[in-house]
Amino acid sequence: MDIKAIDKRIFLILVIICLSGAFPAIFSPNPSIGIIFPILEMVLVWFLLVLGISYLLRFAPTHKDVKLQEFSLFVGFGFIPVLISNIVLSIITILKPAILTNLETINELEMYLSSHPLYSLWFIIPKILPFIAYLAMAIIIGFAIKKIYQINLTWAMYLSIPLVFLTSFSISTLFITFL
Amino acid sequence: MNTKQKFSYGLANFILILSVIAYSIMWIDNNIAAPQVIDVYGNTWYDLGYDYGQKCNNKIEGVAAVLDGLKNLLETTTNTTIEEYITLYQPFIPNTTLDFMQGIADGAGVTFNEIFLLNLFFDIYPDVFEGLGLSCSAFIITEKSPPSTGAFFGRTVDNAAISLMEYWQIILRLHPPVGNPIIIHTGAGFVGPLTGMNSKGVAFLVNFVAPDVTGPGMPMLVTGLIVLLYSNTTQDAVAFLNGTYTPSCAPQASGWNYGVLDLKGDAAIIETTHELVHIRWAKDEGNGWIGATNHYVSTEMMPHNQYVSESSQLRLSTIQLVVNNSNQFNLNDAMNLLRSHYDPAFGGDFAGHRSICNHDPLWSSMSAFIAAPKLNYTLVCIGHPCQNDFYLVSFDKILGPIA
Repeated sequence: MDIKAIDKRIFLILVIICLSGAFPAIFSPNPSIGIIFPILEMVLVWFLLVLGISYLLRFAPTHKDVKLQEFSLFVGFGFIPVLISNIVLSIITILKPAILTNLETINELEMYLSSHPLYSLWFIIPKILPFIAYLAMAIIIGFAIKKIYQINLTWAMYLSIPLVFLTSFSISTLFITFL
Repeated sequence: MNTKQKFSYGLANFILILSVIAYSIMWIDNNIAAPQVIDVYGNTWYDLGYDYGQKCNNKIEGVAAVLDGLKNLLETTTNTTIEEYITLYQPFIPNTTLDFMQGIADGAGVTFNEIFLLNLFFDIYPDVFEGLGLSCSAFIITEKSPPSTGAFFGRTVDNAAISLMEYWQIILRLHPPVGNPIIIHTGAGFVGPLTGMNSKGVAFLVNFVAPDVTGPGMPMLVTGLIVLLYSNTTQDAVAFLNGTYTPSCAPQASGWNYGVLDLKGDAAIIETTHELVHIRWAKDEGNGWIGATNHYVSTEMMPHNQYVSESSQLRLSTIQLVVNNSNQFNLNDAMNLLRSHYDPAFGGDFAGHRSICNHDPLWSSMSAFIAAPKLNYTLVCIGHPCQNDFYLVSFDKILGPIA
């Protein structure tokens, strides 16, 4: 891939990563300068994934030929599902009906739930979606490892799935603990 | 690719798929399934405890195993053995509750000492972990609630060692041999509530406070159980907590902010230390609500705070800000407040100890609870309130997710 084209795409990927961090916070009832933390969190996850994987695969036969920019670009593509998930989650948060504002008694609530069988989807989707998004991210990164480092897809997935989940979990934990 | 390589790739794929399936099942069970509500019955206190112990034996065994480790820490720090603790505190616990504890121990297959220590641990906690408080926040809405809803309360339950404790929390519907049936949210093996409501519409909550003095007295969990079993109104509960009712709960084993609300909308926060009690009546404060976090706020009791954390003061100020700014505060507003990450020191959202919904990995919000006596139900959310759903739990139904 042409280096100039990669540089332009890296910029685009950075925008995607920053937006995926910013999106839930934009719709917070109390937006503040704190929006910078989830953005930093996402950039740090990206940074650590690129460096961590390239360090772990430093003995791969193709390692010397690997361009870090190209790999970081592919890892950045993995943030697209996270961005989509965060946009959808923000929309769901806005649209979700607050039934307790109008309905209160057990009978009213029971009748509403029985006449709206899909109501529980408002609660299930926001929980499943981030999980699917991070799984998709891990799969994309798995394919990126396979393509760039030319290793077997199974081992690539073995590396990418735990790394994606561990990195994203530990970075968010660190941010909460020390900031 | 030779056969050996094919086999190793096949095995690796199999393990990978199996791990993903196992994790997904565990994840769905923890995040999507409705909370398990355990109905416990018994004609005697021992039978009630035995039924409870049997139905929760896995969780109780888990708690007891961790408690064994903490026992050594407790004995080293305080130079008091568990047997000595039992001798000191047992006289303040009614025999019926001791029978209940024995039943739980036998039903769960653990020792009586373990169950006793479990039910005393929150009271002797300040002696072991001096300077460490918890981050529970609570508010009782009286006049500010819509007339159709009636007075209600909302609270978050925060605890240390969150990754362990959140799996040990349970919702019980106790059908005791004597006294009112009750719904309680508590920990496995606990005899009393962290939060609860009885069939007469008396709702109860408790928040940790670090008092200047602790000593032998009635443990908090036993106090909560007796309040819910025998109180028909807030006045009854206050009389018991004030020590003017026989049998009395005084002295208390430690310091607590108890909150009580009844069907008529009478509400009070009862600030207790080992020997002192001060009642904050909601009607006297005149705001249409009353709140409590992890320190005493009355001028009478303020000197008895061992320490007052900044986070406790800031969370109370958030409750004050949000409730005072509403003309009317309904159940939906209560849920939003329980899910709030607003940090007044930061001036925006940041989910730490200074926000109502706290995400600290070691010491954070493990559940939220709303009790609405007039509507005769509770709304329970297990896990971080911002990420999990509220389910309606009444004396005979479980509905949800509701919100």
